Amino acid sequence: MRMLVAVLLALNLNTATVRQLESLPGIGPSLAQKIVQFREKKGGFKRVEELLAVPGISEKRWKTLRELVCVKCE
Amino acid sequence: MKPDSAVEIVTKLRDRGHEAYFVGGCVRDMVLGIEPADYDIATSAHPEQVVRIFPRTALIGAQFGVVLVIHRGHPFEVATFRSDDAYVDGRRPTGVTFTDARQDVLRRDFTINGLLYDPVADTIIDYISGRDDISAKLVRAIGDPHQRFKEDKLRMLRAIRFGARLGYTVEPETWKAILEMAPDIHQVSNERIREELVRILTEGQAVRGMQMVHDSGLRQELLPELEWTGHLKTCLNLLRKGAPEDFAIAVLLHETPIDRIIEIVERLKFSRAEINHVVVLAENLPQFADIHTMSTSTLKRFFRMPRFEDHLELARIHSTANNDLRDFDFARLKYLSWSQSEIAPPALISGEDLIGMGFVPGPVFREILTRIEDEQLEGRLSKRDQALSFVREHYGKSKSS
Repeated sequence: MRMLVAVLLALNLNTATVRQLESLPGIGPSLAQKIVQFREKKGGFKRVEELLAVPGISEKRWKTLRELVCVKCE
Repeated sequence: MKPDSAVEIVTKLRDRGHEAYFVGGCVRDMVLGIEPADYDIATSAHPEQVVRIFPRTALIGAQFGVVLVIHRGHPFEVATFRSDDAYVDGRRPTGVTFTDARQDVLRRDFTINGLLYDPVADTIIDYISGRDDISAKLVRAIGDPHQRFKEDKLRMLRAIRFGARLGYTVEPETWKAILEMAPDIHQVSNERIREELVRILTEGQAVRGMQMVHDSGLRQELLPELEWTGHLKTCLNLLRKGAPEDFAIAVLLHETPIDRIIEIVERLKFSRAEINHVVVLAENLPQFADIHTMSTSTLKRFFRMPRFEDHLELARIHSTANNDLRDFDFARLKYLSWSQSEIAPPALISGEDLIGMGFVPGPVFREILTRIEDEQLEGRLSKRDQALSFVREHYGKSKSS
């Protein structure tokens, strides 16, 4: 029997492109753009929780995102 | 960043009857007249109280009492005054006890990072003579340096980073403790060491920082493979502040044999992509010596390498250090003289065309297409029909025309 194992790699918030960010659940082109703008203005994310400071990221959205992104990705 | 939103956080906490101050690097920056990049706040309020006061928060270290407060679109770290219990793993305390402002300062690493600022009264609260050490340009551990470094060995590298970046000296007792404890640095994870080394290399004054890393004995512990040469010092002196992390490491390692470089970057847990970039940079640096004899097509292919600007910048640094900029200047002028479409023009023909001409797919495809691209890069072919005729002429075999 063959088993298929899907490996989900967390997306690095500091290097992800707008397109890659759009692949996250609940993130459309405009939010993806805002995340990148925030990143450029701030000089990068220090921790994933800072996503909460991006306009348009609600607490609910944040909760689904937190496992899917990283800033010091291994 | 202006302090206004951070002041509002302090005021809100005060209004609820809590103590609150700016703390740490931002206060040091304010004393130095530098605008802080961000503000940290220390408060007597417990995390669950902080969370109730501000609408948008995230617990980022509940066990240490740290809450990230989002206020006016900015993240702020709001930490409850605490003193740390014993450290077991040389990094994290086994537990914390919430205390007062003074105890909170006394558990911190260096006096220059231990100042509190009251933005309402506009006064600095200095329990550890931090202002004197800022004036004297000294990085001094708070309390017993051995104890501070025993709690977290990474603080040895942090002392050096602050010293190098600010142009400060590490105070003699603190320095002595580093010399004695350097062999213990291995208790720190390689990821944390990497992060600190990268910051020393990219935050400015890289040569000063690495000289201190060397003098402290930490270089011999962390990078025994590295030869600390005059050439390397000159190169680090030319490394620009804010350089990409993998590029900075490549400058540090470019004279080290490739197999050693791979060992080092793997040990420091760089990502696959970063490791690849470092190795490719070091491997290709000698190419610049042959740049005058390269054909135009070879040169253009060289320029097409991912992040070629980094290759060029490494060549600039290396050649400047060697006092011979001829190869670099030649490469740079060539690189600037061509547009992107000249370096990487769209292909004139494809495998489809070859199939259409009756060729059987196989290794010959690559040979033909590479040859066509060579001719194109050399400027001898520029149109599709020229390319098709060239194929017919040189590789025959076509059944249609």
